[in-house]
Amino acid sequence: MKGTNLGEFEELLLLIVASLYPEAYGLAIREEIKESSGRSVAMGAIHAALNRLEEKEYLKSELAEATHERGGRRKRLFTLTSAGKEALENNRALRNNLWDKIPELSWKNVQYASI
Amino acid sequence: MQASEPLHNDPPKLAVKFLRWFCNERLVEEIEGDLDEYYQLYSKRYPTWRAKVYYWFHLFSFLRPYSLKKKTQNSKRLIMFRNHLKFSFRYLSKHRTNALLNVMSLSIGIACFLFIFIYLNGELSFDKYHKDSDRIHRVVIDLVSDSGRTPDATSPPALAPALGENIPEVELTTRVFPTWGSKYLIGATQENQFYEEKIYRVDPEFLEIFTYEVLLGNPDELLSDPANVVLTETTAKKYFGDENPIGKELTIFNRDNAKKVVSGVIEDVPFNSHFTFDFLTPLHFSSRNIDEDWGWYNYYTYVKLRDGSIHADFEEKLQPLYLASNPRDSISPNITYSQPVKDIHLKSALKWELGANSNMSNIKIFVSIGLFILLVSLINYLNLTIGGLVRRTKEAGVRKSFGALRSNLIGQFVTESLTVVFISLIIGGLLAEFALGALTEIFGREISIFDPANIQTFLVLSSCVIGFGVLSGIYPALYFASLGEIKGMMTKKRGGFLDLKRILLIAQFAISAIMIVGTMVVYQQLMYFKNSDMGFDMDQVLIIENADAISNQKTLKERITQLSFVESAGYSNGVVGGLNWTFTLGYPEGFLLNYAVVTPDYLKAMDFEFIAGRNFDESIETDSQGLNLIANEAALKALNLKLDQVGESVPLTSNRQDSLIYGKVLGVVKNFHYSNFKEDIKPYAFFYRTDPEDNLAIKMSSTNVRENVEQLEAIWNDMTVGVPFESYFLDQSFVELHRTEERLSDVMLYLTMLSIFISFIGMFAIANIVIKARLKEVAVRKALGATTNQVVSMFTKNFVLLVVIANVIGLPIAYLTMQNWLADFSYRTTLSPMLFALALILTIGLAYLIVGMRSLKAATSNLTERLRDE
Repeated sequence: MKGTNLGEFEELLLLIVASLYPEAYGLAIREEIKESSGRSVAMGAIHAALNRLEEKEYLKSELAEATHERGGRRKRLFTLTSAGKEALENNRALRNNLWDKIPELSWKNVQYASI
Repeated sequence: MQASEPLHNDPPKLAVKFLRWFCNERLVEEIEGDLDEYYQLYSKRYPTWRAKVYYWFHLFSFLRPYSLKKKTQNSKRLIMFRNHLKFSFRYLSKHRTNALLNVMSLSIGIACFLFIFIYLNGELSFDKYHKDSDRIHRVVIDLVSDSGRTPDATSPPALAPALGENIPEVELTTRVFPTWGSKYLIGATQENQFYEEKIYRVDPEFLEIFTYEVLLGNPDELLSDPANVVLTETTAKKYFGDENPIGKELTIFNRDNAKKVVSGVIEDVPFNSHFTFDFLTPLHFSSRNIDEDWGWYNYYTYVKLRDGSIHADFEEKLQPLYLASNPRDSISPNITYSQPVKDIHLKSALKWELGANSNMSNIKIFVSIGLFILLVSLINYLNLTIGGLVRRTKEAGVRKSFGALRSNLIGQFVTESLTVVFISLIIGGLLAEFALGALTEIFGREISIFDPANIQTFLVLSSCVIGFGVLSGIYPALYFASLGEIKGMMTKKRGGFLDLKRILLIAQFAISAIMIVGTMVVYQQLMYFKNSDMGFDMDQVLIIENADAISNQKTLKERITQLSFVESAGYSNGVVGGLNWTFTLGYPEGFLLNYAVVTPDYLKAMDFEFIAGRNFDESIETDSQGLNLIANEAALKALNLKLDQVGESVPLTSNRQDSLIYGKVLGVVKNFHYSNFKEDIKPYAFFYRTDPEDNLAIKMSSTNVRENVEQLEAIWNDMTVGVPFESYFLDQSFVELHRTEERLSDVMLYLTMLSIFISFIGMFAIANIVIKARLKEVAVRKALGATTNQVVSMFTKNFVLLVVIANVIGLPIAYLTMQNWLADFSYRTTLSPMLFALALILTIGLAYLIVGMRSLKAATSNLTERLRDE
């Protein structure tokens, strides 16, 4: 099914949108990514991904009231939809499932000091 | 607004304008808002210019399909663009041959340029990866004597400590003591043993001056103990596999079976280093103090200067320091100086370099060839475009009379030329990638144009070529726009003899002529090396290495000489063409003598040609003692001896108490080449000693090589326990001496063929255009009784004339350039007039062939069809 798989970056965005609620908009999301993961992402990349997620209906958005700090331009505020929440939960469940399946033994074979 | 509230900083106006121009109306408000807020934030944190750069960066990141203004199906520009594209493809497929030739020559040009540029990038990157590499220098001493100045990369071990103590600019020094050709059998276990020679004994500062990434081990204590050894990653894997090697022992199997403890693993020495090693171990001699030894020229000295110190200040203190501290000879004429480490690979060509250095003049040749080929292919492109214009005048006239503006014409022509350029860029890039992949072996490393540094080169080249494409599209468009509609439709302009097209053709062929001569000269010089008399016979001579691993050398030799295919076999402590030892000999004036210690049969096995005296004799006891030697002609001359003095006892040198030491020249051999042809043959001598030596030279008579070597190996294995049998044929090692010229010759051959190919593509295409435009004329001439011959020569004579002019320009340039190149060699071939005649005949012949074929086709085609046209 197209569109049900979340990419790593998409998952990060959805989580951050959810955590920034109700103030999740482009720049705030970028700064949050930078702060929490140290990744510096171009704003165009974030907007493009948000746009894509909105098309997949994981996010919905509306324009907020104009504020003074942005020279009177309105922000687009994003919120998670129920489909978005579901996608996040699926991802989490899948991951937990896989973690549980790793046998204890395989950790022991990881060589930390090999060159 | 309150006074304390910060002012609103305006982002760059042009940027905002640009955003509003391209951005979708639905999104522009929020994006502009976000960017603005971003700018407010960052213009407080950073200087304005930086905030502006960031602003632009983020702005450009919005150039994505989703945020652009939606171009509807009915957008005027889009429709015109599609139309232009359609016409481009129609035009190109109508003139398929020309389009194909155009794309082909342009992509070959691009590929060649990329290829050579990437190669060059690698060459220029040598030794720049070290931290502060511009402060690292090598100190060398040229040995000066009556017979001249011998540039020498080595220096005595006392030099480095003296530099460190006495010159304030010096921060760190290190000595490097390689193994000088001897091989050590090293093993972690009895089963896992290898012969190794890339072992550097160094001072602990080595790893501070030359910065390699430390993968395992404590970086501060890698070389702190004399028993330590540092391995490169590959070496560590070779001995220890995936185990952690730190603290493990390696045994050096020689007389005292010394054990070394692995203290660290560093990255492999990158390809772009002027030296390479597998093992590093601290420089340590328990028996002697090398710090005061000024006589032993066996070390390399590197220094790192202090931050901010001036290199010239350091340089001018070198020679006085050398004279003041060298106790042996305070008026030594030797010359001390330093070389920046970054320049060693490209510029240094001293004796005893640590690796094969590159050669600036060869690099210059490569780069100029790369530029030449790009030039030739761009000329082709230009020529084909201009040549095609003749038939576009009518089209342009029609377009204009239907109301096309200048911008429409520009759009059409630029789209067309960019189509060709883009296709060529893609093909050219792929070709370069393919060529780089195929030549991995020559480079000794894997290169891809997709490496970040190379992709950058590709992008820069691409934008240049695209710019060129745009210009070559705009030029004809403007030209046609300037013509009146009617004039455009009716004229058929024919330029004079020397129009641009012809000048470009002449330039192309001049370049081809230069390259033909160049390639032939390099090849001739290579053949000269290969065919000249070396002064000894290296055919069928097998060298067995590490023969000193066998205690009873005499028995080994006897058993080997009993084999039916062995003519003679003898030991030596070096290989002619490889490393040899030197010392100072001569009375009253000393000179530097190269020498090898051998057994009598060695000279027989190698077939040195005696011109006076005799070989060593095992039965004469004095032959193996004292200064009894066999000299080459150069050494005899340097000793100031005549041929009739051979065998007499003469003073050869003096000891420190100034008492004379006598010796005999027992025999004289003809001068022989033991080094590359760039140097004169220097004095060389053989001594006979009965000590064990490490190389056994075997002259074989039959050609059944594999079986013979197997028999030799069987004897070897019978007499040793577990020591690997290592051997090679002497002529192989001589190939190495001429490796640079060989490579140059190969690469030049291919590139010349390419350049000739491109030039002739160009000529064919031009001939094609010219002849097509005159088909009707040909038909009329034929109808009026002209013979096929007359028609063909009508076309060919013009082109042949162009080629002759090109040769007149190109050949003198070729003569001067190659004369210059040959001047580097002491032994060289002569520039024969035949080469130039050959280049002339070759180019004229090819031109005649190509134009002749094309015009023959025109002359013999169906006349009525041509005349019926229109």
